Amino acid sequence: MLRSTFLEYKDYHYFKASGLLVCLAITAYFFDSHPAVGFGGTWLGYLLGILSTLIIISQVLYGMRRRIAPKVLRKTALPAAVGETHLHKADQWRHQGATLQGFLSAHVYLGIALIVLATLHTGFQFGWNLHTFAYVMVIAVILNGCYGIYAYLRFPRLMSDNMEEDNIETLLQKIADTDKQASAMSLQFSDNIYQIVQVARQETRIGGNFFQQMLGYQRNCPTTKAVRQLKKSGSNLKNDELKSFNALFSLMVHKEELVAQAWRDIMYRARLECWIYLHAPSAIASVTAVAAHIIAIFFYG
Amino acid sequence: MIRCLLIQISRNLQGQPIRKELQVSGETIQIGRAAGCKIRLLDHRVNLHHAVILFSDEARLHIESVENSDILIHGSFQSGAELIPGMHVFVGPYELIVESPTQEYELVLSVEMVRALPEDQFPVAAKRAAVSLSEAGLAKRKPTFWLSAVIVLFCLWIPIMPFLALPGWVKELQILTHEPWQLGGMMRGHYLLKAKCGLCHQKPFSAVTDQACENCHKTIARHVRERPWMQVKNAYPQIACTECHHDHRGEKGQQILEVQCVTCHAIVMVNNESARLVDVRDFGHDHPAFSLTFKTGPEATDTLRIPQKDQPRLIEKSGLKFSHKLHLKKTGVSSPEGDTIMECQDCHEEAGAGFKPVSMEKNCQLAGCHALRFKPPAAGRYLPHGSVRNVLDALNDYHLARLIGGDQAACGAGKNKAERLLDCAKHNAAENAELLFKGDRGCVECHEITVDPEQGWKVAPLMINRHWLADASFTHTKHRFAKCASCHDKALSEKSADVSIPDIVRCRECHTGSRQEKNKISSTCKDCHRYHRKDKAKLEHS
Repeated sequence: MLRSTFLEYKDYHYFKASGLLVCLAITAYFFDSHPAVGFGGTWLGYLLGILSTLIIISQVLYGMRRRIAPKVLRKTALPAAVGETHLHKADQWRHQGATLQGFLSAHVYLGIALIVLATLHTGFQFGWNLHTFAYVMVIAVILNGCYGIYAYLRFPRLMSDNMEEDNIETLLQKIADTDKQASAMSLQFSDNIYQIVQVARQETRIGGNFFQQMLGYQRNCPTTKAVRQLKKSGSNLKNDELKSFNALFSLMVHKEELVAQAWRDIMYRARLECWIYLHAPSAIASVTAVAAHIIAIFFYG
Repeated sequence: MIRCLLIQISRNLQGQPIRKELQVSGETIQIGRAAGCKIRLLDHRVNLHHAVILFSDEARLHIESVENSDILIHGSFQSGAELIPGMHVFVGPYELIVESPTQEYELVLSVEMVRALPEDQFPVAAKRAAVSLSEAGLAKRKPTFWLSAVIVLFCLWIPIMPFLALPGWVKELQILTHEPWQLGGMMRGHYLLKAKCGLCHQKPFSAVTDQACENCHKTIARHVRERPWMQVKNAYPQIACTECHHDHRGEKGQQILEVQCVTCHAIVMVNNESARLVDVRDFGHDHPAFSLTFKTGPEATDTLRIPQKDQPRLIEKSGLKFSHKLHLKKTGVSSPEGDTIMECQDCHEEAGAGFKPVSMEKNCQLAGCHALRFKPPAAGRYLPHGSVRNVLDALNDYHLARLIGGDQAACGAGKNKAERLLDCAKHNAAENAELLFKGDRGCVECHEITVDPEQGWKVAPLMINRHWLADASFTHTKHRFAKCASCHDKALSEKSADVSIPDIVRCRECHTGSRQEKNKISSTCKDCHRYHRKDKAKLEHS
């Protein structure tokens, strides 16, 4: 049986709850007063504001829960006997996993519902002020989170399909090993071929800065270039050299595949993780902005 | 044929030699990296085909370089030399030592790598750069801290600083602004106060008080001070200025919308069934019928409101007699200038939102109509339009003057002529007055006149309504395009008691409520009603 994702948790329990909340809010908004009075200051405006704030608090609590959970788990598992510890740990994890999945499901659906609630709370009155800034921050965090949903649904599968039994370190070792073999093999050929292999060995880079990781390949990859050059060079070789050359060429093609595989893994990982580096800081920043917004509103009475 | 024993020497970790023997043979023995070489020296410092060993013409073994490759023999680079046992030949990083030949081998060569490159100088493997975002320098904690700190600084700390007890020079810093906290632009009138927030916001975390508003807006009357009907349930009986007036919301946000009025006015009856006001939600479909305001006395507050649907009671007691039917006759009204067709504007002259008061002199007597003549008439002399006293004085004067300069026979004869003339003039004046006040022409034509045994003639005071819809601010200016008769059905009215103010149904032919309707004008509360009315009359249902 396929394991259900956080989106399907408990037969879309939180999806239904959030959908109902959104429907109620929209209905109340259109049956309430003229929107232009809005500015979040009507009774419905305050209600939507309070609801939005509670949702934001729950969102932050999820973040805290997610960070704290593993630490708590480690502490509780320590005193037990070794055998029991494993059993206890497994139970804990199962329990923990289920709870966290529920939390994540609520986090996702309530977050999406927050787009509607917060927008209705604004009464569609926007300006160059803190209040609109707080709204934009909240929406930006949610949209960023939406990318996170997409990333979590897409990239883990691609990553496991790409790497199978390997990980990035074993892949790097394989590349290094292939490099050594290719270098040794290239010595028997002309300086030109030797040089091609050496350049590919020295200049091929695995990983890089943020943008390079997101892009997922090295521009003008020396290994790919080497394979292309070797293909050309191979046509000038004598028959007795061809056998050895074919071995070298297939080794370089193999290396090219390994390099591409490593880059793909780095790209998937970067695309999977990039949003969280924006999500976490901007979430806390948006909470700060919302707090400032609430203080500002009540400061003037 | 050269038969060669190749001894490959390598070193173990202790540096001791390990020998590996290999037989090679051929007409020539090539030395180099290439696959075809008999002696393959796998190092990039050795050329592909570096050297060759061959028999010379004298049947001696020689080593010769290929394509000017470098061979180091006895400390110098040479292109070739005879191979003599004990000889050391350097090919790239390899040392070849010629050893003594045996019976089986003409040539015995030991080969050892003597100038191996240090490990770190070998061409490196693929460079491992940052393979994760955290390795690439991305972090969460620091950005979280700094982003939040910037927001706290600019969105909270700086805006709140002007309210703190800070030295004057600090407060004057331009950077200390609470502009980010404002929802929108201020009301124009409040711009003058921009730097003095404390005038309105007297206490942090407290609403702006009515007192703060009234400190400046001293002459503005309240809409209503409280909601008396709400007191039944004791819920929010006080009305604050800020319930309707919101500043810092830009021009759009400052507008008082119908919904704000309806919030209270839709539930008046719900809270108090005996409330004087009626529930209203929208002019188009939920607005009570109009009530007309009738004057009942000389004071501004002497008024009576009668619902327009109570038709039998809609009688104006103005003290005048006037027939619109007579004056608006299509064939015209007889006048000294012949039959004249009159129009509404002949008497009702527009002035601002309403009309100028109709006056006897300007409107009724201008064309010679309704001239107040003496009896008997005299050319060029007319009675004044004014108080009874003035009329009687004018009559006395006229008749006395007439006796003095005319026929005095009717006054009889007697000892005192002056007394007789005065009595006679008085008598004539009284007869003339009777005709004017009691006959069928003169004052009695328009006024209701009674006679009191003690005070004499008494003309009923005029009580002409000027504001039929006292709670509304109707303007004729905006309705100029329409004909008077389209709203005021006066053409057949014979009495001034008739009231012809259009009812709400007539208004709704053109106007609708706040929601748009095709071919109708959308009208909200404020289009007709005023809020801060100092002149608000005491209105009571009778």
